[in-house]
Amino acid sequence: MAGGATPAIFDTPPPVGSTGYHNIHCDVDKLFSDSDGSFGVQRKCGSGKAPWRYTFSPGLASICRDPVTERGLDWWVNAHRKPRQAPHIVPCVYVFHGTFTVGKGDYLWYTDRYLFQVQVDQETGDAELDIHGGLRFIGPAG
Amino acid sequence: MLTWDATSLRVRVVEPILAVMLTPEEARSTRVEIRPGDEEGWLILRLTVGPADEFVSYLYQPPSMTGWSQREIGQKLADELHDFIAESAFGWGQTRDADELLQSFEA
Repeated sequence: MAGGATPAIFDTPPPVGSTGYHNIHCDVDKLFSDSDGSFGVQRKCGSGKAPWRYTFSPGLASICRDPVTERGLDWWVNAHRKPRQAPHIVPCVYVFHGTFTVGKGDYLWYTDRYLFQVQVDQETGDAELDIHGGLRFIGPAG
Repeated sequence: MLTWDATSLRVRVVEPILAVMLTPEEARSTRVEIRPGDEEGWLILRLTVGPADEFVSYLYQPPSMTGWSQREIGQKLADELHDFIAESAFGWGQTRDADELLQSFEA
């Protein structure tokens, strides 16, 4: 699901203006969720900053074993790559977060990767979660 | 074209910012490592502060940071350290910045 979590890797943004970008109205806290986790983003009207966050779902967190290694979020604005954001080694329940520098009309593509172990019953295995999404920052709703 | 290497980044960006964002005692317990990253030309900064707190930053990432000024690189690092310190054992909940210093950096 674009804007949320998927098991795929997408390190090439779709064309600017294509349908791969979800509209993000300013002054609206938008949340995209699936069975792996939730990605939230918001931009205050008139602001050039958009904070984001990602959390594992309760189901995933319940089988995740600390710690999680986050690679660091890669992002593109209007198809121009921006510097990778900081990596983290943190507990499964951590609220991963950062800030996008974007303005009204910008198209943003992001992708991040999380490595950790999962335990189900007595079995332990390695897990890799890739998330990605496309966002288009626009004016107020209505 | 402005270019950066590990030594110039350490001397002109990393050390000045650490000097204002860490206390003298914290700074004395800090280990600083700058090493090549996993993409060509990238430099990664790793800090270990005291016994438990570790910070990693993709300090310099050409081509997306090619031509960046001292102030631009410093601002990115200071923003990341701001979050790290607030979530660390040694500086939990504190909001520290390097705004005054950054104004003296070349723009």
